[in-house]
Amino acid sequence: MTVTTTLQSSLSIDLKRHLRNSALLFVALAVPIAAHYMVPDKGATYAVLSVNGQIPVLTAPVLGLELGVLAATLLTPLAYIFLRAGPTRRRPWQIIDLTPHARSLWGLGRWIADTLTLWILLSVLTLAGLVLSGFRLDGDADIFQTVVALWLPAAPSLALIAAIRLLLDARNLTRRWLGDVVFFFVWIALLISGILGTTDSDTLQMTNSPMTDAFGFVSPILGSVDYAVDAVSIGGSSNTGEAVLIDAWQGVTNADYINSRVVWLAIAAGLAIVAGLIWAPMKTKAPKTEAKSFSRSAAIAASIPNVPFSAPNPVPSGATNYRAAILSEIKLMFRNRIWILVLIFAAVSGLVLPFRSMAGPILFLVLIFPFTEASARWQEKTTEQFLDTLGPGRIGRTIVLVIATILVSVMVTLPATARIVEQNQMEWLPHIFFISVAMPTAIVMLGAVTRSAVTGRLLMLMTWYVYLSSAA
Amino acid sequence: MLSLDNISKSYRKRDVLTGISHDFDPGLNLLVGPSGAGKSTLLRLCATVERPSSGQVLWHGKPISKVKRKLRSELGYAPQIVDLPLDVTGMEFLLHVAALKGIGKGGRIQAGEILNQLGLRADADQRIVGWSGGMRRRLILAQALLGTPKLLALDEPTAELDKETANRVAALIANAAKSATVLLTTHLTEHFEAEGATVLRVADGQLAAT
Repeated sequence: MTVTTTLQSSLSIDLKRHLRNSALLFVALAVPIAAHYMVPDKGATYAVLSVNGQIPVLTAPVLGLELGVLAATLLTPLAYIFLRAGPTRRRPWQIIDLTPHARSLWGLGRWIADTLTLWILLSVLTLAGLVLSGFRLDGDADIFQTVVALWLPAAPSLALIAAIRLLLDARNLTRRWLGDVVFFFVWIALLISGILGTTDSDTLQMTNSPMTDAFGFVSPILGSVDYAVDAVSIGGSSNTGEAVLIDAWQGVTNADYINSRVVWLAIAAGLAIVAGLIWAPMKTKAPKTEAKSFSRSAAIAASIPNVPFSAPNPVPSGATNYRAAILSEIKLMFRNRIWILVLIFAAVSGLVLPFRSMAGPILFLVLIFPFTEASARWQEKTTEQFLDTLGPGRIGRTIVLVIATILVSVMVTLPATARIVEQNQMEWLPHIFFISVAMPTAIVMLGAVTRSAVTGRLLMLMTWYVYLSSAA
Repeated sequence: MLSLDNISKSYRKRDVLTGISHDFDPGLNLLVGPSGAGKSTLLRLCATVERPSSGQVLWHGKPISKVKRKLRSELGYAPQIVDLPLDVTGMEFLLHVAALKGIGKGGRIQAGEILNQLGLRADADQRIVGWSGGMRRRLILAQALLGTPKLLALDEPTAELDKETANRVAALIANAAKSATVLLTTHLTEHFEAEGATVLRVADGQLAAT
């Protein structure tokens, strides 16, 4: 009974918490709007899916496939953010870590709850797709084909994302910023392995089993055509007006492909169980504090009787000292001294390395982490309510943090800026502006809106990757 | 029977507890002493949260590192600070902890009874986000009392409570102590004076009866 109770309870409490999260409703309302843009009409200037530069004729399975492939690839980082920054990140670990429950089933229950939540959003996307199929298709509507073509790529991919998130939450090292970095590289690796593992790199023809295609997006597209494919574009390309008829239904109903999707779903469940098994109790910093307070309080306790009481000198308080507040934020950013060394290294790189290919990406990358940490430092609701009583208010505090982060990034990018000006490479100045002004501002804003560092960190990592790739 | 066998605990070379040996009596044991003296550390060592730097904590004569799973099935632990999930109700929280503790169908009834005893029954179906600090403190105690714990490790369970509520909590803990070994850190022994508690003082890294 304990076994089922653990599974059932962890599933039900996490699912309830997701369903009570107002962000779920917000995202669910945003999904149909996104779907509208994910299935562009004929007159649109862009296309979300093209094969050899041609846009597939929008049949019922193609519509499902377009939405499914986008949900399985480009939207999976958002699914990760939704879970990682969601309400279930706060758990009574001080108690749960000491209960004798089966960790594997606890992990499995949490994974099912997370997966079901993502599938609820996928259902909303499906509904939106079905509505769109009523007036945007080039052929007859077919609910079954649209739904199957949408869910086969997307549903196991979202389940996999939920499992990866649990795995990253399982160990102390990956519970914070490093976990987001690891997720980013795992996500990129899964995308690339899907392409490289499933196809011949020269001909782009499917050569291997679709099992290497974790997100299930390569196989159904390539399986939909019976001619050589030179290029597939997912996410955004210009609408050339050229249309091609592809048999998406054939692509998604390939037996090997369906089997691979079932196996990936099972792998996700297995990873969730592993996440439970390798779960490490939350590491707390309390002992360190207590150790300090022990010696200090012992000294205080010993000295109090001998010290005559005298009231502390009153210090007049007045308007907020914004200069001190900015300096305080900067100091807090560098509590971990390692960041000072890292940023000095990055600043020096701006003096000696070529800007666009090396120094720029280095400066961009290293500034993401201290800034995203800072952006979420004061965002816990009760902390924020307390801070509201201190004077400057939320807008004032946000401005303070924006200025603090901009000051730091301007300092760090200063050597690179000097070199750019000295070498008259003015075309890179907008890049410097982005790294030292736009990026910190965006991170602080995202932290304020989402109350979490995860969103800013992951979105900036993705932007960084695009920036780095485009330099090649 | 819970025993300490020459245990020491240090953090970053600072000794917090030094060479403590002690057999805790079944029933109520109050750990008192100045702030930062190591009361909570001692409690965490006994509750399997941390390991001693040297020495052993014994449960019925066996090192708790060897019987951790069994001890945890008999443990009720109420730390001072818990990251309570604010978006669930008090009852949902208790039922979840009950499930993880392996408590079966009787869990709901017992949770209701404990909440009733602690004066929380009327708010049990309200989300924790709307609860006061004192209510949250009692909820943390309530989860420790679930099941039939043989060892209760309670870190300042009467802090933030008014006198009347603290007395009620003390009576409930004293009742649990009839069938369990209770370790309880507190600065205020007055609530437990009528309960026949053993008072132990933690100071200078040592544990001594008062």
